[in-house]
Amino acid sequence: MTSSLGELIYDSSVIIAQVFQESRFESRLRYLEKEVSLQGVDHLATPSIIRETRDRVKFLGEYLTQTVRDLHRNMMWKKDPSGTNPDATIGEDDIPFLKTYFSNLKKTIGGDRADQIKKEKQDYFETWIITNLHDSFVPGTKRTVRISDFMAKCAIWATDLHSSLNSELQQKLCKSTDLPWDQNTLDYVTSKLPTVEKESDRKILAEIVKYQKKQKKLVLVSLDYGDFVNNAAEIADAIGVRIADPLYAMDLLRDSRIIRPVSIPGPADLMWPQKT
Amino acid sequence: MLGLDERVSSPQFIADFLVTHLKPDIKSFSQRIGNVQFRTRIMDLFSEKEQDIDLFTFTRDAQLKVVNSITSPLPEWFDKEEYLSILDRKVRTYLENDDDLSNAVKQVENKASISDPESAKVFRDAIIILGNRMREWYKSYEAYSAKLLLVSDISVDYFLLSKDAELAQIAAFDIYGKNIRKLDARLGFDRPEKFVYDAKTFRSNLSPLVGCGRVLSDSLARLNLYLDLHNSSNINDMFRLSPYCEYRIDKTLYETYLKELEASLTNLKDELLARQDFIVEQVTLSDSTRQLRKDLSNVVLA
Repeated sequence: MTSSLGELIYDSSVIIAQVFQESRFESRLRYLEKEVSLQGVDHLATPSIIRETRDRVKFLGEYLTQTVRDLHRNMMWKKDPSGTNPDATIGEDDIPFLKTYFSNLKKTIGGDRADQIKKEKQDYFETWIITNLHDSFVPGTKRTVRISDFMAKCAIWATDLHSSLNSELQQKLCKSTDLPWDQNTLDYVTSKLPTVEKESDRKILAEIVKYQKKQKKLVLVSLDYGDFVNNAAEIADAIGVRIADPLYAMDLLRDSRIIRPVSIPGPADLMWPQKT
Repeated sequence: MLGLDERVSSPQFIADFLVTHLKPDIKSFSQRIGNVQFRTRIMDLFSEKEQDIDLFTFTRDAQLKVVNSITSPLPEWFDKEEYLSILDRKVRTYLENDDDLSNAVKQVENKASISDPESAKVFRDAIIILGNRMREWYKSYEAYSAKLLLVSDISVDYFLLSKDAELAQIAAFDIYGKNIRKLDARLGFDRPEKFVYDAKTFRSNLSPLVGCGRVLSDSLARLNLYLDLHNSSNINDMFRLSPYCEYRIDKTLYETYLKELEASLTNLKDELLARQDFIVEQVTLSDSTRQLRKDLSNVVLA
């Protein structure tokens, strides 16, 4: 049953932070969850948010699994270039090779912000592999391990991580607004918010504008400060969608001023100037 | 291929058979002895209307449907009948090597009726044994799948999706087991009118899950068969572990089958989630992987 306060729409940034238990936002999210539970407020996601969140987890799983596969290929090429020794091993003596391999990989990555994130991911992956390799050496024996056995274990762990994240994500994404964006509403949002650069963000806003006709008391909760939270005032003025970060979302919802759903003009109106 | 041998030794064929035919049907019987009319109700878990109650006929028909659903031309060396008879032989061998499972299947096939908790035991035991076999099988499947991933060059989505699909099917089976146990517990103290209600509730609860499970099972089987067919040179190759290569498949068709699998997996997972006894954690992360997940949380939002 919907609370009389209204409903919250969780952005993919909020859902992902919940699934990954992101420490930076842990307190804010815990506060929000407590308030939502106390007030009995429903939280949903739009179809685009659901797709975006699923894609993020999917891409992460693909990245990890592909990187494991690439590393396996390189290890086998180094230790068994003729491809005739499926029992080829890797050991302590091969650590310098791995160090060079990871260092060379990072050299291929550029210097902008997106590349910095790639490098960080690469660092985490390198730590994971080297830690696992040392853990796989049996104490008191020669410190080597069959490459195929070791990398198969890493492949299982990488796919396990993906399955685990997917499973948790599935539970967080249990309610959808079931109203996908349409071209008319998207064009309207684009015309009103030319500063919103990403089409994916405009689609999310278009879906919320549509849903707002059904549920007037609505707040989009987001941890995306760059695109949403810092532009909340402009977006509310332009298209009537209210946005807040988890700490302030419930206060905004309690705000008694109701934003009236906007009237989306039809295609003809968008082409011709309005009569004054 | 993912050792089609490995897949054939999955209890999934038997699970599909059992679950598809689970359709509770209440029958009333009455008998007059002297001036006294005795009435009783029994529940058949398999409807009399089902003709293909035999496991091997069911499996053959199901696999033939999968073969016929492959839209690309089949390789010239592929013979449907030969393939189906090899599968049949392997399923029989699998059952011959497992007395418990074999007995459970036989009792279910004999269409035992349920009139009290004791007779419900047959179905309960079959489902429990199958669930245990699926979990045991999953460990060896996981190891083979990891090796296949390392030596193949098709997109990794296939391995991620098929793993999730197998896990979802095992979770669905756990739900069947819980439902059967609940029903079984109620049979002991139900009033007659409640008995009918509980049986109907059991059936309506399971139907959507069974339906989604079958669609997922079919779409996974289709994708696996497509990959096996196009990465083999003869029928025996299909039953050995060899790489899945991108150059040997039609990428568009592969993507289509992957999308179908993804859609059917989402539907089954939604059904699982709708049930209160959905099992959350099916995989246990290693310590280092838990740390990796924690580390990745710093970058995944960026």
